[in-house]
Amino acid sequence: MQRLLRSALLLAFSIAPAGCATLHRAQLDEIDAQSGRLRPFEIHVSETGISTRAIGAIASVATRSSRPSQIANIVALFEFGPKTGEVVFDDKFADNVAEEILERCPSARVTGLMSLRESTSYYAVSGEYVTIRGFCIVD
Amino acid sequence: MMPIHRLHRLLPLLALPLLAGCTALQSVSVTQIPTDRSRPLRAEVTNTALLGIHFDNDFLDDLTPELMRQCPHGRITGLLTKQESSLYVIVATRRVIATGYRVYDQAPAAPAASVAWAAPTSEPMSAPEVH
Repeated sequence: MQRLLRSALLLAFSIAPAGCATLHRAQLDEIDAQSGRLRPFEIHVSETGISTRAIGAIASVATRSSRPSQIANIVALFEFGPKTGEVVFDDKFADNVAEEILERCPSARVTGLMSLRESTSYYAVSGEYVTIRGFCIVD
Repeated sequence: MMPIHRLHRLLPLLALPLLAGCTALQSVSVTQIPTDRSRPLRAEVTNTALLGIHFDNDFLDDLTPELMRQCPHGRITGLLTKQESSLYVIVATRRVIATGYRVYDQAPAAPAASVAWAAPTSEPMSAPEVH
């Protein structure tokens, strides 16, 4: 029984670093391949997300008490509402993507923008990402 | 052997999974629609995983190149991007579908001498190579 439990734990820990990837939203803008040479670029901004319920569950297992889980459920009520991914501490983490696009393409001639909202879950914490891919029109 | 009348009762039960709604639309976006919609194009990328456990979103990397392969020297506009997911009991498929139109804009008006030399053609203007 102990060997089985150890194997299950090993399997769980080996899978955990890979994370579970979620694609929340994909948006593609028009692609102009006739106005000049295209140079691809990618912008990736991220923030750490927290799963209150998962933290409560872990704390409950660690302390062998159901109280942390109950508290976490109450805290989770304050996070109720439509959202993508887990809650983060900074809601402005993606605000500067437009400036970053201009840094990559100073001429501001941009096309083929693909905007992705993704997250990767590692049970209690998650990586919340915004990825922008596109092309600078050069020449 | 089960009697036939009992089998008839089981049939609706067996058909129930077929009625289950298992597709979800996650996001839709659309860009400006062109007046010339004579050259439609479509690209689709999918990603299937057991129990819906996906380890990355790399399947999207092929979407833009596939669209650009269909329109290497023009402009793709009127793009409707649809993201959906389907669940087949224990297998989940994510799908992103992009449909749009190829548009070849008119070249800027050339000087009269050049116009006299230009041969009439319906082909799109040549464009620099995409890198």
